[in-house]
Amino acid sequence: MGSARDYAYLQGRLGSLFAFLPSGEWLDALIEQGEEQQARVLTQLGLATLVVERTIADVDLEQALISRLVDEALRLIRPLSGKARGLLTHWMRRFELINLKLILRGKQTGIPVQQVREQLVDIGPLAALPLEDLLQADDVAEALRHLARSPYGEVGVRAERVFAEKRELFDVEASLDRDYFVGLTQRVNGLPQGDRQSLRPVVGRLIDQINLVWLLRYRFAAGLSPPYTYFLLIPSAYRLSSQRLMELARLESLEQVVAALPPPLDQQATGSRTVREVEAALEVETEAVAYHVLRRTVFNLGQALAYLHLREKQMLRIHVALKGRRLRLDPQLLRDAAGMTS
Amino acid sequence: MLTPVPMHHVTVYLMREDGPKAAVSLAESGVFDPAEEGVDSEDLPELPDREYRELYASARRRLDKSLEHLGLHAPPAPADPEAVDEAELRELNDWLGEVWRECSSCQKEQRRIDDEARQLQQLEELLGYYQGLDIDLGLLQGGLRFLDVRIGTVPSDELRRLRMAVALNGYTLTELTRSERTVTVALAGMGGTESELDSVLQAASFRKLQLPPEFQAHPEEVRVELDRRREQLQARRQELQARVDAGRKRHGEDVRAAAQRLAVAESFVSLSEGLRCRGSLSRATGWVPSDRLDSLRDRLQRRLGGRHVLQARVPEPAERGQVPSVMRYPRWLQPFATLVRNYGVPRYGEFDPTWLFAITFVLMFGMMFGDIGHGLVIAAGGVALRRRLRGFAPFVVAAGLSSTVFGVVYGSLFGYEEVIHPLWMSPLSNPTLMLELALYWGVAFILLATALTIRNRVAEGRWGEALLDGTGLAGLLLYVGLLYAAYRWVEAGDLGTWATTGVVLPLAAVLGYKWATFQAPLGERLLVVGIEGFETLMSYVTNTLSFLRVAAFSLNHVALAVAVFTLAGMMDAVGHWITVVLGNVFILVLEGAIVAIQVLRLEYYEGFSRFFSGDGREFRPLSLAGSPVAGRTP
Repeated sequence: MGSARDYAYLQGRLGSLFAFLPSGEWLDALIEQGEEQQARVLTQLGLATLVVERTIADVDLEQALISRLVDEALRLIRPLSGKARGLLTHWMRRFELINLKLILRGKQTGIPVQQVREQLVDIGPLAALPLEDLLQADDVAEALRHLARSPYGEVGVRAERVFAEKRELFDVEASLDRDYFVGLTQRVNGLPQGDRQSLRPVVGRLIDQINLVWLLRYRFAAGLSPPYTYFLLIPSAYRLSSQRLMELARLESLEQVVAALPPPLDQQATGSRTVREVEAALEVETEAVAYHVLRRTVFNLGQALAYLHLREKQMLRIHVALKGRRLRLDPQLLRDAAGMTS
Repeated sequence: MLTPVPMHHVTVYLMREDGPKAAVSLAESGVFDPAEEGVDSEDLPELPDREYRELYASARRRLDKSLEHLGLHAPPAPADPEAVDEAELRELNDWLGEVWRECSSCQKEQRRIDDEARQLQQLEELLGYYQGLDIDLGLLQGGLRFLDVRIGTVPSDELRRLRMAVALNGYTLTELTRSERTVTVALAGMGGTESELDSVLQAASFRKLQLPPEFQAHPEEVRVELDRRREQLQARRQELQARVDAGRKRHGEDVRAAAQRLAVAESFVSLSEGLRCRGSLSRATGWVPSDRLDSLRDRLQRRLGGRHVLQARVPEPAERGQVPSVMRYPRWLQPFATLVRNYGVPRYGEFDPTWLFAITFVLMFGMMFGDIGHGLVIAAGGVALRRRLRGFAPFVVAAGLSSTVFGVVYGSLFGYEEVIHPLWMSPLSNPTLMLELALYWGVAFILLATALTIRNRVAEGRWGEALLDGTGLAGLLLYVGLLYAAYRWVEAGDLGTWATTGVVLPLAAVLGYKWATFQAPLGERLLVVGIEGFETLMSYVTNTLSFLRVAAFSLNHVALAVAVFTLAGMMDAVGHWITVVLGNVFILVLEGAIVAIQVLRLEYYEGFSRFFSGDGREFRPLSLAGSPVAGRTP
C-alpha cells in the first residue's frame, strides 16, 4: 500500500480527525435529546460553531457544514503533493458541480443572479469555477463557453457540445456528472500502484454504486434507451465492468437488474424495490469498507479519501437531523431520511 | 520624505440620492481612498443600493463583450462629468443589452460559419480518403433496403464508448479518417432501432456528413462542388465582417459614450465599500492626504453645495493599521521605490526606506563591481535604452556611474589594472583590508537598521518591543556587546568583565522579554525562548558576516578579469582581442546581474527584514479612469 515515509504527516493529521467520526448513538442524541446533550454531541463532532450559531438559516447551516468539511480537507491536502493532492482537490470539487448546476438551472429558468448567488456554496481555496463569469452570463450557452475557458476546460467543451446538440439541461448535467467521475477514476489510475490499491476499495464501490443507480434512474425513471443509458455511464473496471453494464442496460425492469447483479451486489440489493433502496443497500457496504480502510490500514492515501467520504455522509445526516428537528419532524422519519434505519 | 504623507480620516454625510454625485466628486479629486466600513455599523447599517451595483455589473459585462466584438477601446472618462443615476444606468443597461443581442447574433453566425468550415474540411479530408476510387460514391450511402449505413464525425474522446453503446443496437462502427479532435466513422447495422440510435448519436455529438447530391457522383465531380461551397462560405464570412463593420459604424460612438458613462457610474460602485446608509441619509468614509483636504472640500462644495457635511480628523493610534500610506518621490527615485514596494508597503508612520535603499544600493553596487569601462557601458546602456527601460533608466544609470566612480578608486578599466593609476588601491592588492572594510560597512548597516527598527516601534507605541526585543534597544546593545567582545578576544585574547557584561546583560533582557511575552507550558516555553535567544545571537553574527560578500565580489571582479586575460594570453593577436571582448561581455552581463541580485539580497534580508514591516496598506484612491488605482500619489 502506501509508505510511512510518504504519508507519516498525513497519518498524523488523520489521527487528529478520527475522533470526529464516533460510532455511537450520536444521531439519536441530535434528533431526540435535549439542547445541552445536542450541544455536547455537536462539540464532540467538531462542530462547536453550530452550538453558538444555533439560529442560523438553512443555507448558512449547509455552508457551515461544507466549510468545516473543506477546512478538514485542506488539512489533509496540505501534507500531500502532486497527483495525490490533485485527487483530493478533485474530490472536494464535487461541491462546485452543485454550484455549476444551480447556475445553469438559474440561467435556463431566468432566476435572478442574486437569488442564485445566495444558494451557492463556498469551497474556499479549492474553488476553480469562474463564478462571476458564469453568474453574469446571458444564457446557458454563454455560461458553458465560460466554463470551457476555465480550469474545467475539457468538461466545459463537452458540456457545451451536448447543449448545442440537445438543448436539454438533463443531458448537460449527465455529461458533467459523468465527466467528473471519469476525471476521478483517471486521477486514481494516474497514481502509483500502492496508492491505487489503497483507493480501490472505496472508489471502486463508489463507482459501482453510482453506475448502478444512474443505470436504474436513466432506464426506468427517465425511460432512456439501453444504448443511451450505457453511453451516460462511467467506464468501469470494478465489479460492474463495462461489459456487465451493457448487459444490465438491456434488461427491462429494476427487479431483473437486481437479479442479474454479480455477487455480492445481488445479495446486498436483494429485496430492494426502489432505486433509493438499492442505493441505500450499496451505501451501507461502501461506508463499512471506508470505515475499515480508515481504521484498519495505515499510511496510505485511501484513508484520506475514506475519511472525507465518511465525514461528508456524517455531515449530511447532521444536516438532516438539525433541519428536521427545527421543523419538528418525526424522529423515525429523520432516521429514515438520514439512512440510519437498519 | 522619510515617512508616508500625513493623512486625515474623512467622513462625508450626504443625502442618499446624492451618492452618485458625491462619488463622481470624490473620484475626480483622485485623493479619496474609501475606508472599509463594518457591515454591522450600528448607526448606519444599510449597504448602498444593491440594485445599482447589479445594474452596473450587468451593463459592464455587456459593454465589455460589445467592445470586444466591435473591436473598440473604451475612451477615458470625460472631465467634469454628470453623475449617473439609477434610472440612467437602467436605460444604459437595457440599451447595451440590445446592442449585445445584435453583436451576439453576429457571433452565433460566426460560430455557424466556423462549424460549417470545419465540416467542409472534414468532407474534403473524407473525399481524400475516397479519392482513389473510380466509382459513384452514392452507392456507399444509405437508402438500402436491409442495411442502415451512416457516415459522420464524432469527437475523438467519444469514440470508444460510442462504439460500445451502438453495439447494443447491433451496429458496428468503423473508423475512416482521424483529425486532431474528430474522427470520421461509418456506422452500419440492420436497422429497426433508428430512434434509439439517434438519441445516442446526438449525445455523442455525431455529425452526419451531409453529402450534397454531387457527392453521389464521381470524386472529381464532388471536389468541384466542395470548392463551390467553400467559396460560398468565404462570401458569408465577408458579409458577416461587413455586418460587424456596419455595427461598429452604427453603434461605435454610442458604445464609446456608454463606456464613458459607465466609467462615471463605476465611481459610485467603487465607493460602496466605504459607504453606509439609513433611510435617506448616507455616509462615506475614507482617507485623504492632509494637504489635499481643502481641494476635496472645494470639489464637494462645488458639486453638492450645502447638501453635505464633511468631518475630518487625524487618525487615532488604534487605526494606524488601516491608514493607507502615500509616498511621494522625485521621478528618478521611482525605480528604487518600485523595488522597495516589491518587498512591501511601509505602514503609516513607519520609516520609508526608499532613500536609504537608493543610496546604499548604488554604493554597494559600485563597491562590488568597480570598473570604469563596465560602469560607463552600463550607464550608457541605461541612457540608450531609456525608452525600453521606462522608469528604470535612472536606476541603471546610477548603478553604472557608481561602478565608474569605484573603478577610478580601484584603478580598473575593462579589467585592466595597470592602465589607470588607482585613486586608492586595487582590491586584489590587499584582500584582507577589503574584507575588514566590508565588515565595518556591514556593522554600520546593521546598527542603522536596528536603530530604525527601534524608531518605528516607538512611533507605533510598541515600547516593550522597542526596548527589550532582540531587534530593539536590548538587541542593539547585545550587538555592540558582541562586537566589543570580538574586539577584546582578537586584541587581548580574553573577554574581560566589561565585554562579558556587555553581552550577558542585554541577552538576559532579550530572553526575559521573550519569556514574559510567550505563553505556553513550561517545557515548550523553555525550548522556544532558548532557541529564539540563540537565533537572535546567531543572526547578528551571520548577518554581519554576510556583508563580507561586498569585498568578495570586488575581489571576484578582478579575479575574473585575470582569468580572461590569462586565456587571452594563450591566443594569437586576433584570438586575444576576441577573448578580451567576449570575456568582458561575460563579466558585464553575468557578474553584473549576480552583483545586482546580491545587493538586493543584502538590502532585503539583512536590512529590510530588521526594521521594515512592509505590511502597510497601499493608497488606492477612487478614480474616474476605472477602479481605484493602486499606488497613485496625489
